[in-house]
Parts: sequence; C-alpha cells; structure tokens
Amino acid sequence: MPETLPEAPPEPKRQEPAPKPQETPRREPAPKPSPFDPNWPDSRPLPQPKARSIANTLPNPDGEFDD
Amino acid sequence: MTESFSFDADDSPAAMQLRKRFIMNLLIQGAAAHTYVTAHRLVHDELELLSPGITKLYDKLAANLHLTQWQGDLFFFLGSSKKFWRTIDRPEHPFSRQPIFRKYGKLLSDAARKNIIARSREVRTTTWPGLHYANTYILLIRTMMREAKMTHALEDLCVQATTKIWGIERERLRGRLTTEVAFGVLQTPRTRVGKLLRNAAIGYGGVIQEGGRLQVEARAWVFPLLAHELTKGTAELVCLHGLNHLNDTTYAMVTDEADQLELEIWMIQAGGELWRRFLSAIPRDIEHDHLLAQSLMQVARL
Repeated sequence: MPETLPEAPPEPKRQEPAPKPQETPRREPAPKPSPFDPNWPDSRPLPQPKARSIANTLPNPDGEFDD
Repeated sequence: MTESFSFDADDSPAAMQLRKRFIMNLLIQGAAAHTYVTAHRLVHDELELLSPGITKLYDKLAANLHLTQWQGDLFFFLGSSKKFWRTIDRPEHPFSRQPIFRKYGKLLSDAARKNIIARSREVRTTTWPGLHYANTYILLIRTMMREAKMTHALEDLCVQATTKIWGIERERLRGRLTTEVAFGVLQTPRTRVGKLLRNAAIGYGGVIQEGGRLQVEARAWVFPLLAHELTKGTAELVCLHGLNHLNDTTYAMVTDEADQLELEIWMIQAGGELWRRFLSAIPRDIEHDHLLAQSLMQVARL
C-alpha cells in the first residue's frame, strides 16, 4: 500500500496583528522665548534709559538746567 | 482687552501692572548695583594686563560710589534715607501704595548699606562721611585720568564682562566711556530735584531700537559705571517681556508713573539687596543656557 502521508494539520490561521492605535502626532514643545528677544510692538516707544546720578559738585559738561 | 486705566483702586489691573513694574525696576537697579561692585573682577586678568593695579582702583571707586547712595551730597537734595523709608506709610510718599516697598524697603536698604560698608572696609577705603565724600571725587578723577588712553579696550572688556554675566551676544551690547551720557527719549523730570539729578547724571543704560532689532546701549564716565549701565540695559531688555502685552494706554501710564528719575536712587538702595537674594534663590550655574536671564524673564512675565 502506498504510503500516504498524513495530512498536514491545517495551518493555524494567522492572526492579523491588532492594528496599532493611531499615534497622535507628537506636539513639538513650543520654542522657548529668548530672554533677549521680546516681541516688542514697533510703534511703541521703549522705556526711557535709566540714569545713575552723582550729586552736583562736579559740573557735568553736558547737563543743563532748564528751569 | 479691557483694563481699568486708573491706579485709584489698588486691585485694578493697571494698579497691579504698576506694582509689578516697581518691583521689576527694583530688580533692574539691583542687578546694576550688584554688577558695578563686582564686574571688573570677571575680567581681572585682562584689566591688569592693560593697566597694572587698576582693579584695586575700581574696587575702591565702586565701593565709594555705591555708598554715595546713602551718604554724601545727595543727602542735601533728597533728604535722609532713614527718613524716606521710615515715612513710607504717609499717603504722599511715592511708595505708600506699594506693599513690597512698605514691608521690605527699609530692611533691604539697611542690609545693602551694611553690605557696602563692609565691602568698603574690605577694600580699605574710608566710610567716614566727610572723608568718604572727598575721597569719592579724588578716586573718580584718578580713574578718569587713568582710563583716558585706553577707552576702547576698556569698553570691549566691559562688554565682555556683561556677556559673561548674562549670556547675551556681544553684538547686542554697545558701551561707551564718555561724559556725553544722555541718549534716547527722556521724560522731563517732575521736580527740581529731578532736574538736578538729570544734570548730575554720570551714566545711562537702556534699550534702543536699531535696524529693526532691540539693542542695549550704555554710556558712562568710568568702567565700573559702564558695567552698571550695561547690566541695567540688559535687565531692562529682558524685562520688556513683562510690558509688551500691555495696551498702549496702560503701558504709558505705568512707565510714566514708575520710571521716574527721582525714584531711581531709592531703587538702587533697596534693589541691590533684593538682587542678592534673588541670585541666592536661582540655580548656581548662572552662565548655563541664559539661566539668569531666563529666571528674570519668568518673573517679568508673571
């Protein structure tokens, strides 16, 4: 009798891998604002320069009294 | 944005912004006061190569000049510092509606004064009122004579020291040693004392707009003062983060009220100590990633 090969057991059904949950696009962290680049409105005057005074004994050649 | 344009109510948005600007001015002036006693130490070797012994001269001059905020002839124009802080609760006092100043102003000013007296003793310069006064002018004249032939090199070193402190690019800083110190648009002082202080200005620091970019501009008579002004301008640049979101009316009202020349001496008195405490509260590695500037910016944006 010809040998018959035993029937191969049916291949187990390949389980499709579960679909990966859709990745939410990563949010890039907001770029840190540079401390030296404030967003300053062009039309706005800047704060006046701050002075350092010494009392009036030595005449300041550029100072003027405008009483 | 709707905001109340009045400082009458202490909890109105405008009054809160004014309060914040007063505190930021305290920090700006404090940073500058701190820097000018110490900045030349950051470029000590370079300065000594230029002019041996000059750092000792700067040590004495800076200590003397800083002490003039409490004693010297300013006393005759502005009155006693003790009285100024003691009478802060009076309604006509400029800080009477500023809780931080009322609570801590005197304490900060006293601590800063003690600190500068200790520093003066350390660098062996006199603190006796009459002698200190005369000595300040002698040191100032000696310094100006010594600096006269090397102003450009000193300006470069001053910029270098400021860059080390703040991490700001050199290109953003312009410092000039000159007696022509005024620049920008200056408010007209409200009082005769304000006019006197304007007349007696020996340094200015601030921010200007040039070529579409904000730049720090500083001018002063001598190196320690130039370092002081460069830091003042840099700190002001950082603090613009706290002003840029205000509407034009509130901005004008806040700066008009808080940025008065007459108040600057008191800001320097109390600010130096506040700045020392601010420095002790932030991480030590201040040169990393603009940490000092970042920390100040966070406060400005509150």
